[in-house]
Amino acid sequence: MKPRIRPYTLNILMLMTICVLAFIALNTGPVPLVMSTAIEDNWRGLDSIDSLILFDIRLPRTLLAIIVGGTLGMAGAALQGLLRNPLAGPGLVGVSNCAALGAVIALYFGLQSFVWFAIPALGMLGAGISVLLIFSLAGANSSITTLILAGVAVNAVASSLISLALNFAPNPYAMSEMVFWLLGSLSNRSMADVTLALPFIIVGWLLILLSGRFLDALSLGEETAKSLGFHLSRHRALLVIGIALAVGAAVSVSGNIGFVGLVVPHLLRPLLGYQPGKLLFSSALGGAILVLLADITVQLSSPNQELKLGVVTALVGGPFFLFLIIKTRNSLQ
Amino acid sequence: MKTIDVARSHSITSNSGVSVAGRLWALGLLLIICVSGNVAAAPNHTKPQRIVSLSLCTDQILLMLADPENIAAVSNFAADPSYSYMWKEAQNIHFHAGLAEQIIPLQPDLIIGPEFNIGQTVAMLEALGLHVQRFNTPTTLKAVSAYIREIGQAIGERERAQELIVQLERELMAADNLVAQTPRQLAVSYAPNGFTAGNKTLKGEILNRAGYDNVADDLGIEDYGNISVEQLLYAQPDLVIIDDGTGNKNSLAQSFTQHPALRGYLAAKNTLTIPSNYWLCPGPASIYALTLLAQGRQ
Repeated sequence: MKPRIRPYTLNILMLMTICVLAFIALNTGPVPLVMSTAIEDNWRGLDSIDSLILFDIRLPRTLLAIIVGGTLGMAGAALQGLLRNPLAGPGLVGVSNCAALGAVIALYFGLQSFVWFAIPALGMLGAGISVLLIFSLAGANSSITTLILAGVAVNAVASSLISLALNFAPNPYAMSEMVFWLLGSLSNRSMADVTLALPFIIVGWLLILLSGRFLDALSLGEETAKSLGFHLSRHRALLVIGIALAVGAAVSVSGNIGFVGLVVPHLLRPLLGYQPGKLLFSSALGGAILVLLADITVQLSSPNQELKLGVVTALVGGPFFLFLIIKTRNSLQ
Repeated sequence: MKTIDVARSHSITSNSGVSVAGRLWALGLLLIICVSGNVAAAPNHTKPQRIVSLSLCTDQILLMLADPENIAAVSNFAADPSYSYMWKEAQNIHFHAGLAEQIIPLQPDLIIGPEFNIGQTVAMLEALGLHVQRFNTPTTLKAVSAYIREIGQAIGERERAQELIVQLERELMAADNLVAQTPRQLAVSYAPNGFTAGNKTLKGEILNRAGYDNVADDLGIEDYGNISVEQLLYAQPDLVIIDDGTGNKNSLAQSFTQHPALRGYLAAKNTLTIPSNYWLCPGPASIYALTLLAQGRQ
């Protein structure tokens, strides 16, 4: 299938959209804010309330929306390419939940007092284990049913282990924070979260992006990929590590924001053609747009009692997923 | 910049011996003796001998009024410093986790608990013929006295209850006097998860009584609600009352003062940390919290 739009043009368009949305996001919040004053104050080195709100509260939140959305979008495209299955996505096959499980164990049992990066580290470990688990359960060449069943199993185990861990956590707030880990949120996040997660995420992104050509080759079949000179297990391992690093670190600061990784590649595939490698970067941009939009919606719709971000993405993603199932069912018959 | 950090230093009377802390039940008894100003009454066999309290709030009043040997059990929260103002006095008291099968073997002759939120346990205890007496948890400072009086009457400690009420009224008057000399300021109650209290709550009433307007009021929060870091910074209150539980801080909720934008702001502002065990139960501890607030005005 020929792409309807040149990837270059599409990416530029999406980057511009991200800039516009980021600007809107910086202007969205529970209190009125004059952006020019805030920037001016910050420029002069004044710690005014406006400048604090813009640079210490809204900027990290907006940056995280872009980073986390980008990660989920890219990881979705990578997983769909790796498993050669359109229904793969970090939320659906349990990668996000396993990452959240790792982060939950690190946070509520105080592991970050021993090593400062304990939370993203355990998040990444959880994500890595889940990708390996899915791969060994569903296999490299899985049918849609096997993959979904494996995903349901991994997801169920991970989310019940999250509940169990929170139940046993020696902290009165642990149980009530289950909602954050299962639905995700970006409220009250700070620059500290950005600097904690970003290094791991960037390494993850690079590993995934470098696998673009491998994914293209893999889409022609394992034999063909091998004959093109790709060392299957080594390339797969690199990709799995990349996904684990990026998703694990992202989920450990934002919780499990569902459906982004599943939906975005599907929206972009008709525009770009069926070439997994090309889809990676564009899906990252698309994911950033989706999460930014969702976060702006969350803040506008309930300024005082904030909805969790995952509620909005699931409200968009759930119906889309149903549509996808109906479509795949028709094409299989 | 002024930061007042209040540990559990404020006791019922100013001259009560903190040094007796080793003998915990003795301290409880001592407090009561100090309050009543006379030696505890001789055992009176008409009053209940094996009292069980079902909720944290009745636990604390019971621990203040009754002799330890008359308390058969209190709830498992009573001995936890994060929740209970009377945690020291509860250390050697038997506790239950709210299950009927833990309470029945104690053969209580009186069970006290809250009017609302009674659940299956009370239904089962009553079905088994046990005497359960329920009390309306106060929602105003005024109702605290009636609450203490009712519980005192039920457990046969009318005189001690009256002494405590008189002492609390003195405490209220002293607080009012302190506040009367100072101008009104803006304050906000700030608890884990950004939890804040509006004017319809007891905490809101205490804030008002201590001479503060409430930020929650400007945000349209009448009962309880959440306030974001952004709203807190924007409101620029004169005082941030931090409601801090003890125990570990390993949760997202308890990082509520750790946001970089807030850390610098709070360091430069008036903050008053009042442990959460003062706030959880409307009762004497609420009035001690008011005293702390009023003293902070000076």
